[in-house]
Amino acid sequence: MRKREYLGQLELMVLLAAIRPAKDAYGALISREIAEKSGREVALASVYAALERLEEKGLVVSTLGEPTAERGGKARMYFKPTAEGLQAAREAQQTLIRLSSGLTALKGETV
Amino acid sequence: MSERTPPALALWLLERCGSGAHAQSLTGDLIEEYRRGRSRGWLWREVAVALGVALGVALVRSIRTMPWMIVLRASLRLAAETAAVLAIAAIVDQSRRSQVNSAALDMGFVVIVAALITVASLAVVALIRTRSMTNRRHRPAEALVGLLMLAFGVIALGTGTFTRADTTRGGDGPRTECNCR
Repeated sequence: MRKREYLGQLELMVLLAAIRPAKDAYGALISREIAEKSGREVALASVYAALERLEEKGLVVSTLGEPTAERGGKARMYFKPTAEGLQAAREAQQTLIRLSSGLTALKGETV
Repeated sequence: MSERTPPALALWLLERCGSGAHAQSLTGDLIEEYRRGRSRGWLWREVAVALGVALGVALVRSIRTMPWMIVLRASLRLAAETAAVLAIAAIVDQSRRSQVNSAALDMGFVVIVAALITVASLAVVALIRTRSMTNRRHRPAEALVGLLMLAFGVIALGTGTFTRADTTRGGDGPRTECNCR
């Protein structure tokens, strides 16, 4: 059986951003989604590195699109979460909720 | 309106040095975003990060997949360089001493220098022979280890030179005879 690995913060953000769009997600779209929701710009190369790690862990799958002229003849790579990916995101969300419940320091009061 | 063309050098660097399964897709995304109105500064920053990420990934992969070979080659290189430097230092020291004291060639010195040259030569031969056992993927890790060793060598040699200079200066001063029995 494969060893269970924890998701890093960027990996989790990328996974959640890949789950969000109605149609298949791609690097630039995921990067924009993260920037919009977190207020932090993430370099595209970092997003692709995280996607590669997620793919190695079997949490997302990629499919190659058609090359287009506006992309300089390069094809777009689309990413889709797998069932394991959705499960991992769900578990991470529940763990974070459990860990943060009842923490008064997180309610906006300074300690 | 004409389409904005991204800097050719940036794209060339990405294609030449970038890595990863999705390198083509990343380049395409960068071109697309640039044509949507991103600045040249943004594109160059992204390229710099991409090169850094590619180097980091290559380093981690090569260290994970074949650490023993990198350690072996680093040790061989260290042995070769140390032996060569020590041999040169011994020859320089001996020639300086024979100029000052007109001392005859010491047999011990000859043996030590011969041993050092042998060690350096053997290590160089082993390094050349093991080169074919590593592939291109391990070169970044090897380069990093080499760089660290060079830095260590420069620091060690510099410290050694200063220590020797201090000792020599101290040795030239007035000496007091020891009366102890």
